[in-house]
Amino acid sequence: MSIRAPSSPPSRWRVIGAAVFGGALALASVVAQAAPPTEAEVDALKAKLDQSLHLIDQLNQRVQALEKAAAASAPAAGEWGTPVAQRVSDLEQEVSALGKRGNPQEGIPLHGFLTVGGLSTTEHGVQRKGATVDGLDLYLTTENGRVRSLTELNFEVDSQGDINTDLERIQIGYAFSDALTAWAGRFHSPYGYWNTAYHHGAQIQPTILRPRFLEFEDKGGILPAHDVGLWATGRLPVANGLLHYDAWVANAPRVGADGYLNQNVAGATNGHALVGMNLGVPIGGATVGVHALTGRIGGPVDGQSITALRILGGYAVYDEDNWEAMTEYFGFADRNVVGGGLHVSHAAYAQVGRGFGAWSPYVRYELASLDQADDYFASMVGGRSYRREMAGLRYDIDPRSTLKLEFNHTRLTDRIRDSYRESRIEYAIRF
Amino acid sequence: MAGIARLLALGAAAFLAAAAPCALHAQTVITNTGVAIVPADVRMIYIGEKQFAGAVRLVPVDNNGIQDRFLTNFLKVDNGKYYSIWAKKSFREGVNPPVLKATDGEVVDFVRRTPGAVGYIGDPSKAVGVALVK
Repeated sequence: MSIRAPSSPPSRWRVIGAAVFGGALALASVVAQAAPPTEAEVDALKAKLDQSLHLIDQLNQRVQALEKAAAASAPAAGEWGTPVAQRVSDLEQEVSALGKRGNPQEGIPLHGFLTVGGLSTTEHGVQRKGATVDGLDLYLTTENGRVRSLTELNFEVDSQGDINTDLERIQIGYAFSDALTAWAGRFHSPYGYWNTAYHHGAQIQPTILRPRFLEFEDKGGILPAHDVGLWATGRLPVANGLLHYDAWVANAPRVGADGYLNQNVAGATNGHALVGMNLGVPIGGATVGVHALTGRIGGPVDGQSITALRILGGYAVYDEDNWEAMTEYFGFADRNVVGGGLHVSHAAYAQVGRGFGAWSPYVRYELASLDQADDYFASMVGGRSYRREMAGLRYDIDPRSTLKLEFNHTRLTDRIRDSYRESRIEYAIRF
Repeated sequence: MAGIARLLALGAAAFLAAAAPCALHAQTVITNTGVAIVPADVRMIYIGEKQFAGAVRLVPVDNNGIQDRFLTNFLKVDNGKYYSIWAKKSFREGVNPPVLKATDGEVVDFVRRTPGAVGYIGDPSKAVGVALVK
């Protein structure tokens, strides 16, 4: 960028000078065409002409002085160009950064998921079709040095259309090192992969539905999706990467009179604890893990225990090269408190998805084979064996918003045999 | 001989022309003077897997001016994938993604005055009062 010297003043002075000079010439010409002048008149005219020329000379000097002054005050192109271009570039980056950042250290680190959709289903023998509002999930992550907190509040519409509010997570932690962060409060039960990876994060979840047996407690899930207690988690270096571990102790849940699992947020009604662990290691591009969970599950009556729950399982996840594949297995070996006896059950799913740009088709197969003589499953609404085939298509509108279309066929294979099909659509965003 | 010299000169010019963008696009990783990390740590720090260097809690900072190149060179991911990784990380573990600064100057200033800070800049000559990761 260059700056030109101001041009108006010299032009004005040039015009005036030219006018004076022209007038003097004209006067001289008129005088020349009249009667022969006397010597005195000629001298007077010469004097006037000298004055005019002197004036013109002064004006020229003034113009030159102004031009010099303007040139001196105008910097060279390079002197102006570099800083201005740099400042413009910096400003552009600042504006761009403002648009990108939800800066956690310069604002409130509040995030969330918002989900709407539609469905057509015949589950429970009742046909439902139409639009749905699935929910709003808000979570706040604060970090103050080594002290951390995570608070999650969920507003969810249930199958009856009622809005439920749930304090999903309220946990306070202290990060000692990469090897150990200790949390206390209510947290997502850290077994397997799905429950902590996605939970209510609809936009980051690859599908619309969770595996049926991993559903939330109030939707008929057969495992505690949340726990209240203490949780230690961290990463330890091993030969081929980092070993992730979780170890936790929490209130033992109970199965309420309504047939749903309750996490006993206000304290275990049977006075027992649930103890769990989870280990995951990288193998190639995948993460492979094992997990275990044990405790005495309470019943509808305070002080009652119905089952000694024992779960051992494993999982494998591969999320590289546009492939997203995962599988989880849960093996149950429970003992009824009344009557005893070992009751073995199984639940598992396998899912594969492949990204093609913004499009990701996926398929999943799930099964649960649950022993109905196990008081744990027999007392739960969702404790039924089933098979489900599912297929869907995900479209990422941008990294923060997603459309999904999904179909499933589910067969309930014990207690009351049933079969139903569902199609669902979901529009989910995160912020 | 003159032909060979011209050929060599042409080759040298082509090499310099090809090398110039690499130098231009290189990023220099810097840290607060109290932080000791090695280049192999950078990727783990920026995906949230390494949050401590010894007893020091790390505070990574992004540089909007060269972020895309940094993500491609060091993390092998694009911007969308990067923030997707952090969205999952934040949701699971309650940690926050790196602060985003606009320019080299802002990054250097932040790293210089923030204990545990790690950043990257495009112009190494601006790395004053900070440590270089080599």
